[in-house]
Amino acid sequence: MPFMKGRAPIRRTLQYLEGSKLALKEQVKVFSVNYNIYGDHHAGARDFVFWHLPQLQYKNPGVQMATFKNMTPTPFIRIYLDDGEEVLVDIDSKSRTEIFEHIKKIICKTESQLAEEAQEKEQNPANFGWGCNRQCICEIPGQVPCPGVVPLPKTMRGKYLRGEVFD
Amino acid sequence: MSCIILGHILGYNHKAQHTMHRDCANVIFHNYQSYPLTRIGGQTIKWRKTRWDPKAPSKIFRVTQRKKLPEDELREMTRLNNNYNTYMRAIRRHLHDSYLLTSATSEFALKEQEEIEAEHDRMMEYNRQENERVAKLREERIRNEHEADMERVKLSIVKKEEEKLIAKEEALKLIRDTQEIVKTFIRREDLQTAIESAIANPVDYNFAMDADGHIFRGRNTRPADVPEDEREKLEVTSG
Repeated sequence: MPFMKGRAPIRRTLQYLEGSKLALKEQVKVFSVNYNIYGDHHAGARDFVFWHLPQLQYKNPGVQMATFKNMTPTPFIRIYLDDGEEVLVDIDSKSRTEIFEHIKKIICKTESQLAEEAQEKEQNPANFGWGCNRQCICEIPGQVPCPGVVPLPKTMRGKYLRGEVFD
Repeated sequence: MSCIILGHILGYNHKAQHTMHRDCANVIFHNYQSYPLTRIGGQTIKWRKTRWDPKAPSKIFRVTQRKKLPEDELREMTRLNNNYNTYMRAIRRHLHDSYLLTSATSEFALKEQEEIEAEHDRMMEYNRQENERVAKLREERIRNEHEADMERVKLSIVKKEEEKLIAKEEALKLIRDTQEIVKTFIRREDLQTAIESAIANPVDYNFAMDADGHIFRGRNTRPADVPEDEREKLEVTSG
């Protein structure tokens, strides 16, 4: 099987994308990064965009992510919230991990919030059907067994009730 | 009232059948609603009189009696009913209250909202301070870069000056040398005398050298002719 194309194609794997915990808060609508292609003090910004922007977009499909290159002498991130507030984050001479931690702290949902939401989304374990642990109610002990395995008694069968068949 | 159909389909889009009356002269066409099946396979038509249908002759003077329940039964029924209603009301109320607790306008939710906003403000404050810190570092860096640039410029100026001086020196040296050389030029007037002196004094470029580096100039010089003290030795240059 050939290698995946592109630089660091691991960024495009599901495991990598799912593994990030960068879920932005609901108020965030636009996330824009300004940085240069050259310059040592932009290195952190470049790395952050290269490694973490795909993760951010994957976890927040409703947020617009924009990058602007070679427009300003110093790099920065600007986050636009839905009540018109703009959050400016200066990332001059910061490393990739520093930027990551900072963003996570100020504008992402906390671990506890994420856990809560995951719990809420969990299905009622008593449900059965498609997408649940049990396919049919006949699997559950104490219920009527599957008529495909054990025929139903005549009192429960329509053809006897309606008088279509006499036995 | 359900009637079993024995008639045939007439005229209308929906099946309208006429009922089996004793006097078939007054046949009224009625619209039936649905066709459920009985146990023995016959169709039953759901039938109710409309508002304007007249009362049947057998029923005009009928006075219906209210059903009389024995007293103890009645008491028991009311008691059970009341209990049931009480329970159901209580359950419904309880569920409604718990719903109100978690609704968006409840105190709890409002408090949560306040907390979220406070948290947000704290984060913005933290971000602002972080920005200030980074701004200081940035200014520092820019200042250092600026100073480095100025240094570099100064050095380059000095270097340029030095180069200029050296070039000037070189030019002067060239002029001096040329002036020296110009002195040896032969002028047109002195050409004859120069030729005559050149012929009269031939220059002998021949020389010999021995293993020790002594140079013996002249075509006909022999090593023995030159005394040992006056021998020219080839200078050893390093490199």
